[in-house]
Amino acid sequence: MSGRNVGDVEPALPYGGDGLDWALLAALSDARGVSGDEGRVRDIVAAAVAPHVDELWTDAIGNLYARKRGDRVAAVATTDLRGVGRPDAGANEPGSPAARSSEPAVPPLMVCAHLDEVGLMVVDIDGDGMARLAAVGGVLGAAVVGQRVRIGADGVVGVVGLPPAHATTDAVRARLPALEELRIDLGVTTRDAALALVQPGDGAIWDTATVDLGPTLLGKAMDDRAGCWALAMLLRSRYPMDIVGVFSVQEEAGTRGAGPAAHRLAPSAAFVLECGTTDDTPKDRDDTPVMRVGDGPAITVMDSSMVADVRLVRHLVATAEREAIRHQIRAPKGGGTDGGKIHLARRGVPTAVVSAPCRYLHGPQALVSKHDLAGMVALVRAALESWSPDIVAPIPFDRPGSPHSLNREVAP
Amino acid sequence: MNPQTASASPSTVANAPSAPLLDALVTFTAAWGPSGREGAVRDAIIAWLAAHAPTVDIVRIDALGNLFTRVGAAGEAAAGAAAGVPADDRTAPGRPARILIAAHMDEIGVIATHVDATGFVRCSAVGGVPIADLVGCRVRFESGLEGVIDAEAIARKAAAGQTATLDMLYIDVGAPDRAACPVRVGDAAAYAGGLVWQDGGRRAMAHNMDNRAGCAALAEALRRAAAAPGAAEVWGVFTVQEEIGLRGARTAGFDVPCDVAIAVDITGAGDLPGAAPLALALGGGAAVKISDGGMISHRGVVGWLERLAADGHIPVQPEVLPGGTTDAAALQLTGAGVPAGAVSIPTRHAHRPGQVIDLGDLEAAAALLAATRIGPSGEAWYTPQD
Repeated sequence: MSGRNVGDVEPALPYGGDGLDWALLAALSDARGVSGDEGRVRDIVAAAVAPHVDELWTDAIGNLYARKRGDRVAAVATTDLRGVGRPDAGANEPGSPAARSSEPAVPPLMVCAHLDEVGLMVVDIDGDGMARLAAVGGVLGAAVVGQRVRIGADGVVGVVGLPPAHATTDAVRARLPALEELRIDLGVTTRDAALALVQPGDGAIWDTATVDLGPTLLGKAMDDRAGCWALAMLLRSRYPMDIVGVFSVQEEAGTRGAGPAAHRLAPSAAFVLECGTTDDTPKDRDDTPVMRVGDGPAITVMDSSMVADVRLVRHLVATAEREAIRHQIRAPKGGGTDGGKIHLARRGVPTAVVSAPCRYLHGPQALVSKHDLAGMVALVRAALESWSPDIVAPIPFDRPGSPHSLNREVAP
Repeated sequence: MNPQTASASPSTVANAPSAPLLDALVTFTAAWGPSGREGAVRDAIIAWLAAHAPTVDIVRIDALGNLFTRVGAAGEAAAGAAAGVPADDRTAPGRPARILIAAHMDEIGVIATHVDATGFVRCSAVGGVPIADLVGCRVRFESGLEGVIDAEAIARKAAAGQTATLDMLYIDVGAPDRAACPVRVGDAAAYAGGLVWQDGGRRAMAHNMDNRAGCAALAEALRRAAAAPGAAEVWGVFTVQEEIGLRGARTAGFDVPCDVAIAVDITGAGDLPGAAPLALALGGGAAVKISDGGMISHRGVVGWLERLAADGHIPVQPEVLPGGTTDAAALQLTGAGVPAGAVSIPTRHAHRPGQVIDLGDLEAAAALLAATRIGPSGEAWYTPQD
């Protein structure tokens, strides 16, 4: 990672942030891992967390699981989560018709971040050796025009063509280019030469190296390597209860990896660590920035995919206030996360999302704040350390007053 | 909140719904509960069951907030029977059929995204609110605070001929500035309103008939089933988050494997000036869903419900709804698939602040749902998985 020499100009990071492994975040962001091709990222994560966890395994679709046994969990209670489960492990709730036989006896907490990033895929090679491309996840044409990319397992270099300025009409200038109009120039002149380098189906991603800007970092895949990194940092600590860190695949292609992971783990609750888009650059209207870089980790109340569990939201806010960690509530706008699949797994999983605010998300140069990231690690660590199963205990129905209320005045 | 009495109350009408059913409608429509914030509705349902149907088992509230209730089959020990149900008893010989009936508790609304410097609240939609027609609507937050939605006049003018969009809208809660505004980012609001009787007590209007009318019909059906159990076991599930993607029904369907799944919800009505053709009319009876935008009902379930209606002299009308869907669409696809259908209450002005139903249709829906406790056993289409 290159960086500015900010020396003693820049104050120390809060929440012990100077002790965090920022080089790991840079390495993760620089690794190429378009949805469905997460292997390189998974290897870096696995190597980083292996010394700190009790079990590490992958599943059929490539999710990486890192289990950290709780220091207050009796050894006898641990269940082998790698298999389909014991046939007799079901009835953790007597009387439930759906206490499924594959659910572990002591459900762990799930903490999830996704390995993959948005990018491009080569779909065909034209006769002139230029590669046709398609988006993997939400990528604007404007985010790739003129950009150097690396393609496939070997990281073949190409460039997405940029129309020459002096030959561009006003009509073309006025609109964003569509991905279908763009091609990757591999620097070769024939189809055969191109096919010797890349194949249809190869992923392509910006050739960006992370730069340390002092209080902030600039890199291509902070969404969601920032979450993966935060989860790796969290797995260095031990908690009262079993934690399974899940590094999921294919979030950007439709939150596809996290659902099977949640089904397998049947967790008692889940935290999703994300990197979320902001709208916080100067604008004319007094409208929401969604969240703001520098205002701390953002706690989700609702997005397109999920209403966050009110009890977990309260626990996170209370933890942040108790620990004096700067935080913000993400404005309930569109957008979804792995939480959308996790909270609907099996009989339902209380789920919350904590995001690192990010500018220029889904582009070649995404900007995140080290203060926010250090705050995110500190917040989730404190929330896990102060965890109690009572937080998500079944809602009682024999007394008036509902715990499912966010309202500060009417809540019991 | 008491319904206004400008019109005669339903109790004066000859074929009036039962008093408990009307009480359910009154108390459930008075409860506030946009998607994800159903606690007060759930409390109202629990209180109603405790008052009117104490023998209905309240089994549990799940992680998402779904409320599970149950009426056992005839001959089964009633009290505490749910605790004795083995986890996967559906292959047990001679077991009663299990009918799951879902009614969603949530209503549509808006949720605050921003409070500007002058104290106005910006919002996102919760579910399918008619964004272009929100101008002038009164909304209510959980604390009881009410506000009115309006649109930026300049933006509206610029968009003349186009419909209003969310970014033009703001909620005025009377706050002079941001610091004094009691609304926080993430606070949800639903339509403000209330229940009134219309047409001499034969019809009723409320801001949230969708789906408090369905909740009332299900609660009343459970009361009647508990008073005289049938051959089938009936699970009544009051679900969360239907309006934002049938979410509660998904986990509920996983939780309670059943033989037949039925949703009770409101549907549209075609008996309005200039309405698109739709063969549903207020007063025509409960609607038996054939299909909607998200599901095709199991033909056997449709036939069974129609026979139950004929046998019980319950007025019904067939429903073919071109768009929209309900919890049954999610229930149908749980596990290895479940025969599913829906009983609907024709409703005018759905997803608007004044939603009108016919109380005879509500009574018919409750009666038809109660009749499902007879069970599908012996029906030609029904083949138990044993």
